[in-house]
Amino acid sequence: MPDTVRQRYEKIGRRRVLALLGVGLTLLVIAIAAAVVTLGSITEDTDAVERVLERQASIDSLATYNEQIAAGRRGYLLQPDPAFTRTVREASSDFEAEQARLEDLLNAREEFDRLEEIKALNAERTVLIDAMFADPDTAFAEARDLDFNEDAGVLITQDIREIAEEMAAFESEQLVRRNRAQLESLVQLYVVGGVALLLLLGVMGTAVLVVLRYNRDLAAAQVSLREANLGLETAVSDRTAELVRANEEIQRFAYIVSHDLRSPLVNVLGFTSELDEARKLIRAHLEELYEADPKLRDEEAWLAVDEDLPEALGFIRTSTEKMDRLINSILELSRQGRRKLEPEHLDMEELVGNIAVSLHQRAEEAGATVEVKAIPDLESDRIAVEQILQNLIENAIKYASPDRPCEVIVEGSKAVGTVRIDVIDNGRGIAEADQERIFELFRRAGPQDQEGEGLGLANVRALAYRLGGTIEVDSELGQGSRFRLSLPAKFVAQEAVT
Amino acid sequence: MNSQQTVGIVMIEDDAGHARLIEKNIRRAGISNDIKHFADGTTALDYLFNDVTGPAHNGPALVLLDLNLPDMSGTSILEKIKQDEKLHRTPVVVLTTTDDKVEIQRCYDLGCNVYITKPVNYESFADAIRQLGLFLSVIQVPSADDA
Repeated sequence: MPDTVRQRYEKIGRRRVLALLGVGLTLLVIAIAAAVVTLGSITEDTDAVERVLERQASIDSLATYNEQIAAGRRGYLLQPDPAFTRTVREASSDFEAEQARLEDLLNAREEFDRLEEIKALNAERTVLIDAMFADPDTAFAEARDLDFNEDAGVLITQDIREIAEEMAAFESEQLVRRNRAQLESLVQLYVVGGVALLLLLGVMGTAVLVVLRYNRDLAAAQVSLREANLGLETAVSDRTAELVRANEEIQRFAYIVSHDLRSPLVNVLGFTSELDEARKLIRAHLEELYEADPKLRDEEAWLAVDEDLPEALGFIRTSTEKMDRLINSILELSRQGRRKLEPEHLDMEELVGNIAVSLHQRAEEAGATVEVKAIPDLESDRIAVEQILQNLIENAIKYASPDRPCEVIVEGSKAVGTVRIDVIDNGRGIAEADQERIFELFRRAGPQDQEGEGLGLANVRALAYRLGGTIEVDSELGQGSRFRLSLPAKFVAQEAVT
Repeated sequence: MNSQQTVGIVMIEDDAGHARLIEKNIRRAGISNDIKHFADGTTALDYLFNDVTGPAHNGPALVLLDLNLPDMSGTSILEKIKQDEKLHRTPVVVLTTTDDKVEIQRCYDLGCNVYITKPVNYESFADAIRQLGLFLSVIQVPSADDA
């Protein structure tokens, strides 16, 4: 899968899943926060309820002590027993203690006001009681005269009772409110938790759907990719088959053409020889005639037979012979193109070493050295690889620079699935304009001071292509050249061999 | 049977120039046997198999065969000669411009007796033809009737 497409798919999938995870996480945080807040408020409510209950208890106690004081006082007025005195004193001090405790517990303004009233009333009553204990007779007399219900102490007690009842009622109301708030908090907790849970479930469901859809898209993409690959393979094999056919046709064409071209050449050369034979006869005849009768001597006729005709025949012959060589070259190329390639494992260092040995004599004559460095092994057709490298190394020796001793280095390197073999020389180099031409049939570059038909590199390129490889040249005129042969590390024959 | 019967030379060659050069060189080698020239396969086959003066009915012959013919391939003529009951012992000399090993091999497989490439180098070609002449003068070509 192309990287961009994969990245896009990954991005889409990742972005969606991440977004959903983010939403889920946020919801979870909100739910937890809501729970914490709700729990906090519930705790607060519970504390408040406890305090209300405490206050209620305290108010109850206060009311009880109030009644005890009143009962004790009434008893003492009826019968001045020290036991009643003790009861009133104890109840009074309890009342005051409770009053102080309640003051600490209270929190509402109204209640404080009420407590203040109670305090004031109690203080009044304390004064009355103190006076009663200090002067019991006056107190008994007053009590006898007065209607019991109009007695100041009784009235105070009644007031305190009423106020305490109000306070208790207020606290009850508080309790109800707190309870309701607690309930509301709980409801709120359930609602928030429920909603968060529902949302989480929704997010999870969506995430699962997204992942499923992403997987489905991925599977579909894989299927279409496989189909595309198959189509590509078919297209490639179709093209390859076409190329193989075209190549075969060219080879056949070259073979037939070159074959048929040779036929007329046989005649041209054959009859040129016949002409030469005839000329020799005429020349011999003329020579005899002129010797016998010098008067008959004609310089022009003699020149024609002795110089012009041999010259003309010589040109016809050399040209025809050259043509024959060219045609032979094409035939040879076409023959090699038809040869079946047989891939085998090639120890390249050994192979190149053998070529260097076979060229040793020529290299020595030319004062050249051939150095074979490390070359990775490969699997290919031995003869074709040998021919290519033989050609390249021969060229390197042949086209040396006259200014310096020729040094040829052959070295190899490995790329992905490809072995590169470089033939590097310090020879005369190739001008940039010629670097493509030299691979064409019958084309040559530089000074034409070496023998050759312009066939070697054309053959090298044809062979390199047949082996599924390429040949490139990197050269600077006067500095040297590097020919780089790139071949598949493992050649797989694709040609339909005919 | 008269084994001294003159051997007729049947030359199947579409190129008139080649035919002339071959004939000249044979003559130059001192061979005076009758040479019959055919420029295409059909008439040549007709002569070989059906003509009353042809080798199938009358006397031994030697075939000089060019492989490139306008109407058929020389190898199919070779095949016909070598598969024929009467003619299969007739010596066939294949003369052609190709030096393709596969084709040479194929001709020998089909029963060709001698294979001569027509080199453009005329002298060696002439030599080859003269040697062929020599060869013709020493071999005893079996008559079709001996078969």
